[in-house]
Amino acid sequence: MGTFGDQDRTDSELLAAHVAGEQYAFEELFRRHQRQLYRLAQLTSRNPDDAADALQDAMLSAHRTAPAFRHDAAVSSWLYRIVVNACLDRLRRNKTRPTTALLDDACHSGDPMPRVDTAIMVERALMRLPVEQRAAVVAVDMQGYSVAETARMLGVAEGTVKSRCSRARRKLAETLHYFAMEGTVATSSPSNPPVMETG
Amino acid sequence: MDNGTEDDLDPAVVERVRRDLAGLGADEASAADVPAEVTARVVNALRAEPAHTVGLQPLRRLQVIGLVVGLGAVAAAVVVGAAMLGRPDVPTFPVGPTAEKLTVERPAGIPLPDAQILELLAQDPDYGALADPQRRGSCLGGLGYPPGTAVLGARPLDMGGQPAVLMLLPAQSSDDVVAVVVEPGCNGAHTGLLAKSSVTRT
Repeated sequence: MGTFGDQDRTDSELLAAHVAGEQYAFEELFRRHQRQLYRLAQLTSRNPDDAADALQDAMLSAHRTAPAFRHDAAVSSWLYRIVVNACLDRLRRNKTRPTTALLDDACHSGDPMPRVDTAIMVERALMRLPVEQRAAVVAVDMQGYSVAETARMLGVAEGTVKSRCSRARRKLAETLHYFAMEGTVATSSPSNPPVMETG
Repeated sequence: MDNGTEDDLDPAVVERVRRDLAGLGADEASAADVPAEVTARVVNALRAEPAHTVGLQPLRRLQVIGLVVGLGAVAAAVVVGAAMLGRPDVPTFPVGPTAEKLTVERPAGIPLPDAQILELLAQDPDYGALADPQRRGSCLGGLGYPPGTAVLGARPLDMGGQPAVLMLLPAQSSDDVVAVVVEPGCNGAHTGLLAKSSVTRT
């Protein structure tokens, strides 16, 4: 669905068309960026169901508030921010729900990973973190929010955000160093994983 | 900007981690495909939305009253003008309401005149239902404003019998302010934007 040549229109043109009343322009905008949007939703949600819920809520919100967008940032950045905000909001409202780490904290427990792009390695490493640490480090380091803003959105103290970021970065550093070593040391193998550096 | 760099790790390691995270945030090409059911769900929800819902909201009671008053003023002007054309002498009219006062000077949808909106800039903001900074920040984020956006003025408002909150926000030009009216439950996922307009500072 959509007009012929949608792929030639910029994000701003699609958004302007949506604001002007074109029915499928926003849908096209969503389809264009849905992979990254869903990635961000998953990175800041407890589970895929929550991610899908938050993504839908965020896109509906963006659809409705598009006329208020001031074009002081890229349209894609605006969409990313709305998705992350929706997810952090959901985490804040559901703070009492128990969480489980997605994978064992011993992230280099012998799960061999083939050589993959850095972005995918980083994403996989992120998904191993508890959602609270993931959300904090995505907000601060990926989206550029300040600690104070992140604390407000999550409904926690600034010190809590700082400690979550610190723990997350430490775990990511350990995991990424492992995969980076595997990517560069051709002789490493699942049965002989490289020794992890600590600290 | 305080970004929480209190790690006891090698700063170079921390920097690399943060750089890789920032890179991931901008790397659309490496993102995996979205499950078809998720895409379908979002698309169906978007298609169920009327096109450009903000502009197509039905007129509220105050807007209808304003429209009637405006049309009545136009009709009266037409009658008077026609009568004038038929009179040979130069008529004298009593000083009456000026066009400025007849014209609905307030932005469409916001039931306050410009002057009263701008007065809020000099008053302490009353955020009403959005007094909680977390929720207010979430609301502003949902409206597309970056974190830390200053609210220049605020007050609770009645929008045709519905409680709402009016906030004044920076505009692109320093000569203007943006006035937004949102539902009390405004948050990042659902702003409940009721009206929005640009007001020129006098």
